[in-house]
Amino acid sequence: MDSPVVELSNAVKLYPMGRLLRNRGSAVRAVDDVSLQVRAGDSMALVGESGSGKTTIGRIIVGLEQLTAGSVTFQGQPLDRLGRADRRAWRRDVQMIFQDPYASLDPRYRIFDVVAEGPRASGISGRGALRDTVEAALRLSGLDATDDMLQRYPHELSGGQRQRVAIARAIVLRPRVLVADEPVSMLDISVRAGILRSIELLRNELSLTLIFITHDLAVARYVSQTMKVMYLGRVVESAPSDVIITEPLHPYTQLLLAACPDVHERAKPVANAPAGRGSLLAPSVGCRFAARCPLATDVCRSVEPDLVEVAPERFVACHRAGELVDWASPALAASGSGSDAAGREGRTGGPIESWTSGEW
Amino acid sequence: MRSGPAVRQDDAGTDVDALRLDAVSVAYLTQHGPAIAVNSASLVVRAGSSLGIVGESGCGKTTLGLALLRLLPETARVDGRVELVGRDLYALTEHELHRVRWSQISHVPQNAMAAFNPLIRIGKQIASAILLHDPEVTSRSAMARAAGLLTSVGISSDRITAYPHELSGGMKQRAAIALALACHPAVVLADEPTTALDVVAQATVLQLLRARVMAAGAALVLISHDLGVVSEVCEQVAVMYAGRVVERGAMSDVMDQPRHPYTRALVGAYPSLTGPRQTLEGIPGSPPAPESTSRNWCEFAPRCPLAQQICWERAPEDVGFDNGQMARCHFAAETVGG
Repeated sequence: MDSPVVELSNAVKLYPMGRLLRNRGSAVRAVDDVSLQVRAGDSMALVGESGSGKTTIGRIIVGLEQLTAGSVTFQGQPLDRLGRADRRAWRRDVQMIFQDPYASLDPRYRIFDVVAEGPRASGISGRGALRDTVEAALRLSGLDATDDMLQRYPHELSGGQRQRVAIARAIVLRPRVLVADEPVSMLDISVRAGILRSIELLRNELSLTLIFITHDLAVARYVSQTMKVMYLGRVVESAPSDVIITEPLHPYTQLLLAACPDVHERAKPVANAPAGRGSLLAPSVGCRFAARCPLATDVCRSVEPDLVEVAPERFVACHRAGELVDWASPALAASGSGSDAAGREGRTGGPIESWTSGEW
Repeated sequence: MRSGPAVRQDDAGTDVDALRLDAVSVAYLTQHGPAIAVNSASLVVRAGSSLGIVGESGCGKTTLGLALLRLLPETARVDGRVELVGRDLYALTEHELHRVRWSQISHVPQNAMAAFNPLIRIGKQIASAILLHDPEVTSRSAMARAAGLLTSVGISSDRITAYPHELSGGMKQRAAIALALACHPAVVLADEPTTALDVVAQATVLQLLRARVMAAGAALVLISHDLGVVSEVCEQVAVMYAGRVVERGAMSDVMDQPRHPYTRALVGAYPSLTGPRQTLEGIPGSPPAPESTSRNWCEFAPRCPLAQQICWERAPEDVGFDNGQMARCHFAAETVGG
């Protein structure tokens, strides 16, 4: 088998919380001992709710975050030990698309300059060569590379067009790895389908290795061959996407599936789950999903399960892997409402706020 | 004191629709003349039923929601008739409107933080809504009712003294549902009530919203950009495009056999979670900008795969079907199964 293009080994990312007296010395464990390998040609989806660490992993891979412990390698070499030339190659070969196309493009750059910045930095010069490169990237991303388009500013484009510009910027240097962090979650549905289709086509056209970060399982399944489900900084299940969708082994994966609305399958029972507690602050004891899990036993509350291979290409971190939870059962909701169902639901209040109160 | 309505009746004792919209249009007055945001929308919601209003950004769904609450800014002109439990909403005086709001129509906003005063404990806020609309209630029993409402949405009664910021996003949204039901309204309007939430919290809040509103015998109007969300909660659906209701009907009928090409495209734009993998098709182009007068062509024609000459020459009319479905398309009757 090929050696992996990108590999994380026991990656840990902590964000210290020192500024607040109450939490002085404690840290948010955004990514907690994650190992994963991405091989050339893979399309891997990282799924989970906010706070699961999926975005942090994406940012680690492109070098926007430094690991606290563990290692990340690019083509077998640790990122922090890359030489000057290898470092340039990695910067060129690993690119990212962000969630918010309104924030990710410099409002003072014309579209041409947005896309041309990378080629210029990598030494492509000459008006003609630069222009050809930019136009080709825009066309590949599904935009008309007209003079008018090249001279526009980001605010003159729709959300979908902006995201296509962001894609063009990411692929203009023909990278090997593309990290896409929720690239369609802010777009209208009719635009979303077009962008997903474009990413799919680009993946084939440029033989891209894709790491796709999303909370939407239907989108994840559409774009990926393999899926990793994350929960509070850890990978809890990993398997080929179609397998994970039809036969989820981890109760949390089952919950996500039950919670995901499906236009095409309206008879699907919907999750009625109690929200539980979990903290990213304390080094947890036992399984971090135990507080929300109806299957949890004493073992779950005391021994953290390892991610183990239970079948070829299928990994799960659960003491009771494979048992089914009926998340739509009304009994579950009832049991949750009595106890304080604070839940790790907060996005509106901002995750930090929830973290500092020690409660999700 | 009312103890919660089952079906509202007018003086003659006949059933009255909780909410009835008759050719409601909303135009915003701008420097460049009027911009029509909602054009001739007609909808009916009965007590105990639920209607989802779906559409993409700019389709007019939020403006329509504000029109139902009579909360539009002064620069908006409303035509047509909004009937709330048999009364013309726009014929009410300010004083009458004050009585009607919350006791007959209430609102669950997108961001529950905006629904609560950050300086007042949530229990007290719910109790004050009850006191305001029912002067006979003592403050003690209002607090008891507030506690009961919070319990009914899964918030334990000891959190009645919590301040809004002490609740998680999902809890705040559930507290907003409790607040919306405080005065036994006939209609609860929820505008994107779960967009700020994570998937799991979203599913739980939606289930709760539906269950509590139905248990209260009220009608639910759910506005969302997400057809998936609406399809799991509502019995009826109205699809909006460029200010128009282009299709409406029972959820199962519309989803199984969409009659308008826009509805079909919308359904096709969602990847399936468990079904066979199919190539996704986006909808090329973008919706037209609001106009100052009604168009004399079909607003979807520029993006429509079926558009013919007639679509550019004449605005389509509502085509009705036996099952109560309606689609605003010249070819609504012909595109069955297409």
